[in-house]
Amino acid sequence: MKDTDHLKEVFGKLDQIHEPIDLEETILTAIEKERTLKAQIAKYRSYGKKSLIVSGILVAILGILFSRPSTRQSMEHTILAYTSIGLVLVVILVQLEAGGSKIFNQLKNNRS
Amino acid sequence: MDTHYINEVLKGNTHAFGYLIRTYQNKTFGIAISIVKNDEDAKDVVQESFITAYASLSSFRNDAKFSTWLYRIVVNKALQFLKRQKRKEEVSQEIAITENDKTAYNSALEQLNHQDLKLLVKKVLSEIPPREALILQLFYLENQQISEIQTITDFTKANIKVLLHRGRKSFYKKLKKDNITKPY
Repeated sequence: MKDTDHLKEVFGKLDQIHEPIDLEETILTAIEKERTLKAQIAKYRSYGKKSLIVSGILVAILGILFSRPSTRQSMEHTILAYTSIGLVLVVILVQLEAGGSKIFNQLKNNRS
Repeated sequence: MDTHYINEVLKGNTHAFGYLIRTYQNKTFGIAISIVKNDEDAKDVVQESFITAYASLSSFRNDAKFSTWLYRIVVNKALQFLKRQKRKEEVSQEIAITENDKTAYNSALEQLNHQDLKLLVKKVLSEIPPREALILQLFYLENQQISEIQTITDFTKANIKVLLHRGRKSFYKKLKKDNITKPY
């Protein structure tokens, strides 16, 4: 008990034994970075949800278009087929844009 | 005071967190270094702890002290760091300490000037086993009660008392082993 008190007395003379550090800016920057990252993830998540909904709608439209009787005139059938291909391309483009795909961004950058 | 800044942070004012960092960074650094034993690693632990504290601040209940809650995060992070490093805790060497030794070292410590004492305590704490150093740091330098240390470390009261006893013993053993009556 005597020793405890003595060490307490010795240590009591010391406020801080290590050199002061200053990590305020580093920590706040790291927090800000993490916040931005989380916001970005949330943004991509919402894009993902939107593109899923759009994809669903487009797939449904394609389904309806292709399920129509094929006894129609060949011209009408061709228009149908090309419209479907166009819609498929739109779906792919929407998904690439929403996903922030590297290839897509590269193509956009090369154009500008 | 802490409560005001905590509420500000919870309202979305990130910069209010700067006050909490400024207030506790040196104390948390002391706790971290007592476990990880290295300046740079301790800084990483402190940084990681503050980021975790910021992210989980909404789960902090105001009925507890912010410092206790923060120290707990720091201790957990530092112990996790040790685990990752798979660093084995040193077992203090068997050196007998007599009452006469203690009296001699106590009076030698008393005669040291503030700066020398600071250097000596820093050196000894960096060389004794992490858990013992942590308990000495919390009990003597951060003036935490046993019950608060229990909350911070999640060790049992009996365990803390044992570590405190061993820590004191290791402290004197280190002085004897290095034949320290004056630090340098």
